[in-house]
Amino acid sequence: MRRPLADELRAPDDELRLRENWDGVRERVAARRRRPRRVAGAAAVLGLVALVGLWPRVRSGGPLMQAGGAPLSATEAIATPRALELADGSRIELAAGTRLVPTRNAGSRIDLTLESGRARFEVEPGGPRAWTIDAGSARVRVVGTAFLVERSARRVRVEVEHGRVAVEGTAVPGGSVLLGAGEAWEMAHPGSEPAPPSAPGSAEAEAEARVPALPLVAAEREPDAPPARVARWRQVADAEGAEAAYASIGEGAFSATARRTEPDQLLALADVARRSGHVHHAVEPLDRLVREFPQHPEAPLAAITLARLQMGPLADPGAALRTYARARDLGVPRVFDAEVCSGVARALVATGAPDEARGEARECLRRHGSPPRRAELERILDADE
Amino acid sequence: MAALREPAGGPAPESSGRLVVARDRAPSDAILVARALEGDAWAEDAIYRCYAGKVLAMIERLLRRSSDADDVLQDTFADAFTSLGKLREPSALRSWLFGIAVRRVRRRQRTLALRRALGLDRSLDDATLAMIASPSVSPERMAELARLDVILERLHPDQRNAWMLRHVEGERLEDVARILDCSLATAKRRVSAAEVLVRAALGEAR
Repeated sequence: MRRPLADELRAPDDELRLRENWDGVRERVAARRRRPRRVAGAAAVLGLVALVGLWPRVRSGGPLMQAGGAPLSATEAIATPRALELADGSRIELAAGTRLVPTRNAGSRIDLTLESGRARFEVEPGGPRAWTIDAGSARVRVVGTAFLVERSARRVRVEVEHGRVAVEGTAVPGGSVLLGAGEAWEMAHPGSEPAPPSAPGSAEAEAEARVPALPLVAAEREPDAPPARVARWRQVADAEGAEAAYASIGEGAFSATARRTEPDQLLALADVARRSGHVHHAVEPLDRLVREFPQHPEAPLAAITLARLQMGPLADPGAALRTYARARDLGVPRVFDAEVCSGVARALVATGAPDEARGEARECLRRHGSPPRRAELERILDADE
Repeated sequence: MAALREPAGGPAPESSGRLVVARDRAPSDAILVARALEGDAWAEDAIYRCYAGKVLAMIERLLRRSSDADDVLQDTFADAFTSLGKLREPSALRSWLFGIAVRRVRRRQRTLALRRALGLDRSLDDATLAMIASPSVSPERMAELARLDVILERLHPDQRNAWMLRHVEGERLEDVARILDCSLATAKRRVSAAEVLVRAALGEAR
C-alpha cells in the first residue's frame, strides 16, 4: 500500500467532542493529583522513618532531582530568565533563550549539555556528584563552585566566580585549562567573526565585563525594581482551580486586574476566565497581550486563543478574522498553523467572502491533510462546484 | 487581508524584523513540554489541541468503537500530563503520546475481549474501517475495506495494532516499534505476520 489508509477515512474532527474530552482530561488529571493527598499522612510517616535509616544512601544513590521532587529534564528559559533549585542545594540560573539538557544523571555524576545561551551554576561543595557541562567545543568539569558558561554561535565563554573548574576539549590549547576564582576563558568558534581586542576601560571591555552580571535571574529586571510577586489569583488558581481564582478576583475587579497584570501572566489570567465559564472576561487579557506586548513570545498564542473564542462562544467571525490576521502578523507557531488556516476559512465564509474562503480552505487542506474541521473545509470547497 | 494569505512559515514582510524573531521563537513540542512542566495551563491546552484529534482518530481506528475511544483518549492525556516529567526527549512528544494511547488501547482490547468471552458485551463495533470511510471512497473500495475489517478482526491484537500503525496510520517501522515499545525486529515481525494474512485474503483483489 503506497499511502496510508487513513487518507481514505474520516477523522473525528468534531470540535465539540474534542472539547468535551478536554473537560474529561482535566477532571481526571485533577482527580489523580488529589489522590496522593489522601495517603499523604501515612506516606509522610513511612517516608520519614525510611529516610532516617537510609539518608546517606539515598543522598548519594539516585539521580539528582529538583528541590520540589520533580525530575531534572530538558529545560529552557524561553523569554524570561529562570532558576532551578536542586535537591542537593545546588542551583542553576538560565538567562532568557537558554536551553540546558541533562544527558546523564546518576548518583556519582551529572552531565548537562548547554545547547545555547548562558547559564550560571552554583554547585554545592562536597556533593557526591561530579558535574560536567558540555558547551560544544568545550567541556567544563567541576566538583563544587560557582561559575558561568555561555554558548553562542560566536563563542564559548567560561567564567569562575569562586572555586576551580577544568575546561577541556580538543579545541582547548593543551587539551585542558584550569580556571580559578575571578578567571575567565573564552574561545571564538571557527568561522565566526573574531571579537576585536578590547582595551581595558573601553566601552567594549566594559560591555564584556557586564556579561556575567550575576545573578542572571535578576538580569532583566531594573536594579531598583521590586522583586516580582506572584499574584494571589495565580496562587489560588494553582491550588484550587480556575473557579476559585475567578472568585478571588471578583467579577467587578476582573478588568482592573487584567489592566495591571504582568504580560507573562496574561494568558494564565485568560485561562482563569475561560475555565471558570466567564469567556467574555478572557478577551481583555488576551487582547492586551496582543496589542500592548506584540514582541512577547506568547502574543501569537494569545491572538489564536482570542480568535478561537471569537469564532466559538463569542460568535463574532468578523473580529475573529481580524484577530487571525494579527496572529499571522505576529507569527503563527507551527503547531497552530492548521487550526489558524481552518479558522480563517470558516471566518471568511461567515463574513460573506466565499471565494477567499475556498482559496484558504484549499491551501489548508493541501498543507495539512487533516486540519481541524476538515469536513467543513471540504464543504466550503464543494460549494465551488 | 494580505497577511491572511501569507502562509505561516512563509517569507516575512521586509518591514517586520520582529515577525522573524517571533517565528524563530514559536513554541516547539519541546517548549510546550517545558512550559507544561512549569505548570502553565495554556501549554497543556496547546499540547492537547495539537494532538488530540490525531490521537483520537488513531484510538478509534484501533478500537473500532467511538464511545470507548473517548474514554481512552481522556486516559491517554491524563496519563501524559501526570507523567510529563518522564518524557526523556520532549521533541519526541508525538510518538510518546501515541505510545501511551496504544498501551491504553491494548488494555481496553483485553477488557473488551474478556467481556465478550463472558457474554457481558454484545454491542457491535461502530468505527470499523468501512464505517468510517470517507464519502468519496468508491463502492468497490468500500467493499474491500469491509473485507479488510473481517480479516483484521481475526488477527491477534498485537499484530493488528502493528499493521494498523504501519498501513493505516502510515507510521515508519521505527516509529511503530517506538510506539509499541518493542524492538524493531518485533515490530517488523508483527507487521509482516499480519501482512501475510491480509495479502492472502485480499491478494486477488490487488
